[in-house]
Amino acid sequence: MENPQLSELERRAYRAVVDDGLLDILLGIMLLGFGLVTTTDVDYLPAVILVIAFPLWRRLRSTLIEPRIGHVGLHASRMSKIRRGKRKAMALFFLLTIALIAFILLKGSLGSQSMDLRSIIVAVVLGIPIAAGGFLLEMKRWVAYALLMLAAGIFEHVNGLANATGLFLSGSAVVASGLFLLARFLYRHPVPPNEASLDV
Amino acid sequence: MSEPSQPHAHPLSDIDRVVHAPARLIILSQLYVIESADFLFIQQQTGLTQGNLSSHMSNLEAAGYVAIEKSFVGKRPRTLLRLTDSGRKAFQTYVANMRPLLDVLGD
Repeated sequence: MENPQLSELERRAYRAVVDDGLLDILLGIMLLGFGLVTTTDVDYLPAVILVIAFPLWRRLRSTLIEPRIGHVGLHASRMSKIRRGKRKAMALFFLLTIALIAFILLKGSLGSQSMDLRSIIVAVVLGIPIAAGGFLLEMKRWVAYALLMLAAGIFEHVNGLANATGLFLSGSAVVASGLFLLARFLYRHPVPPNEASLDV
Repeated sequence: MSEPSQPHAHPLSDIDRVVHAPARLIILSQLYVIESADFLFIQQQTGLTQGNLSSHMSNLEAAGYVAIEKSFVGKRPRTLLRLTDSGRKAFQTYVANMRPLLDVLGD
């Protein structure tokens, strides 16, 4: 949009779709899932979460969010921007995941110093796509989440805490942030009393 | 709709009066920046009352600027509103006509 006022209107419509906290909660659950993977044998959990996350988000939006603020189909230019952003973030994620898997497979030969830094490495591998996705999809708080993950990874490393403590800490914080956003959204947008009459 | 301009007509005489009404301008500008939306979303974004929005929406539909599709999502009825091509063009023309006028007033 060439006009700043129209751009602002478009941004407001977009924010109505992404500022309800649902995506944040799903992201936090995914981080907790990654934490579980590193402490248990449930190594398929992130894949399961990834597969069910989007349908779950759509379902929650249609049952919890849309009765309150309505439904919007975003402009084609915004949709292509979202698709590009998602593709880039996912490509980055898969690239870094492959690098992480390679690292795990080779960890025996990488020496103890690299293993000591694993909490920071995991935070970087997960944090970079999250930060990139947040930046590309204009959800700046996700960049903050990525920084929080890195801080939690460093905290885990410096204090010699149990494996995946950083992921559990940051995942819980992201879920808490999402729940706060969702609660604020639900408080600010009660279901309109006479839904049936919302008609032309 | 706009009427043909006279040789020395005021620049505002070219303005599309369907678009010019503040509430309809708000609705059109909202629909211009999205693909489609339901009644509730437009109401929330514009801050108009149900009756007001419904009445202006009927005017815009009668002018051919807005298309209204009724459907069901599960058991819930959904009224989807969309700017038509002529509505999009009318909004662009309105903005193009108003801009020089506002620029002159701004000087």
